[in-house]
Amino acid sequence: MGRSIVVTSGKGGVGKTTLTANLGYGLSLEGKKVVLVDTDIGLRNLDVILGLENRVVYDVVNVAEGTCELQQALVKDKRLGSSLFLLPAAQTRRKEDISNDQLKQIVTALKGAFDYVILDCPAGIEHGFNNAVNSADEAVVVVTPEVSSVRDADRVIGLLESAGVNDISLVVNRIKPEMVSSGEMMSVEDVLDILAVRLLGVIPEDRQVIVSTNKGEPIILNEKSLATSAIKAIVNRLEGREVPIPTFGKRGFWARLSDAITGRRKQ
Amino acid sequence: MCGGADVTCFGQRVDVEYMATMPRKAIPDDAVTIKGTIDGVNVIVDEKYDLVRLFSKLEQKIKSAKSFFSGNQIMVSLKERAFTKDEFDYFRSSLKLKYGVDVAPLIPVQSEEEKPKIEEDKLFKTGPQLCNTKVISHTLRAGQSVEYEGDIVVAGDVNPGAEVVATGNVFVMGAVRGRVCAGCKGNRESYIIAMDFEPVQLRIADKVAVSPSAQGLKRELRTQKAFIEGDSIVVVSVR
Repeated sequence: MGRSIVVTSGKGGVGKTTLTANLGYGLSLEGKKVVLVDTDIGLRNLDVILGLENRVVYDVVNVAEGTCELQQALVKDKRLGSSLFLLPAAQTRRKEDISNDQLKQIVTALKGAFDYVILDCPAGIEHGFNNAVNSADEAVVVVTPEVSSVRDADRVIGLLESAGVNDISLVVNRIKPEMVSSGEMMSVEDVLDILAVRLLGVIPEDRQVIVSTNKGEPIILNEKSLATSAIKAIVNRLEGREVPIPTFGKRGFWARLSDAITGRRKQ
Repeated sequence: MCGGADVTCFGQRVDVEYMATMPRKAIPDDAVTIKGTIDGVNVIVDEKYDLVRLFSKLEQKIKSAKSFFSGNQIMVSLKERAFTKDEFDYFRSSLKLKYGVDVAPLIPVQSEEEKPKIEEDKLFKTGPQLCNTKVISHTLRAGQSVEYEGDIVVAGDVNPGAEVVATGNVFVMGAVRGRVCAGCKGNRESYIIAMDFEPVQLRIADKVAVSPSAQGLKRELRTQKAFIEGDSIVVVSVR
């Protein structure tokens, strides 16, 4: 039986889909059988980021309605042999066109055949979110170091807990070390102070990510990118290996001194 | 009216032996008390006196105020439940036969001096100051809200976007970063205590305050208490 992990955030534009695609690639490169499920019905993106748009024939709603078999809807990523698959979302349908039970059944079937089932959750906390969250055993919450993103992530963590998803980890995305150092951006510690969940990884801001998503090539294939090593570290941690999390952005001397005096942050 | 003769004339079968052993001294006037209530006439009898004397006392009172009783239902209350069912039935049917007044079935009555004691007891058990406390054993996250009639204890943080509303006091065993309202129904005596005060907004009764850090003041990292002093909310450190 494989693991089902939902990648969620509440707020849009924080990098859920990009992280999903890259985790899928990273885990496949580790030799795992992975399927990525796009649950953002009506606003599908994952196929575009993976560069698989032109090969989509059937989608998750077709599977739920019985128009096609589950195997027929899975799109294989040819760059990685037979270990990475995509179950695309329907573009012309709405979130309500698939029920909680239908998605759960599909995910259960996929868990039988794959090591990892990664669900790309839509933004928001409505029907699409509920579907994705209720089908998963674990959750990875993506947050950017902004107040609005942290607020939404906090809300989402509360909803995950009440939905019975207790294995929750956090990825802090798009951190700008120089802005953290100058005190203009929330640090990872500031974020953890509020959210108080297990930190799975920190991904620094990298312009190359935008270039690669536009090309439909996951950033993890670009060895020069700053984000690559961070994503690879996350993959390793998902696989249960201990990889230290580097600190992004040093707090200044006076800030660290005041932290030491007040005992606020333990570093 | 006294003795067995009167008893038999009501057509009642009363144990003669029992009647003979009853004490025969005069009974005080307040052994039978009559009270008018919205439901009818309430007769309170002190049943430690003998039945026949109580009955004659009641007859006396009925005779002196006949109009008061006519057409009214009489309820007989006992100070203690010492009448047996037979005794009461005798009392009831005698009144019906002789004066045509209806007597409602028995209602026990609490004596005057007992009443306040019981109320005080209830107050002690259900009083809002003592027992109405809700304990939240986790951190309140954004969008989560707790409302309670009484005090609230949060064993965790109150995160930004979370809300705690109590009619009494609020205790937070962590950091307050969201909205907290104590005494939401207007109790100005209510207060808020937290280990780390960094709230978006504090409300006590009809007063609203924003946190010192939002006003650019230095934040204190120790247990603090917010309460109303004069006409504004003040936050002070507590030891």
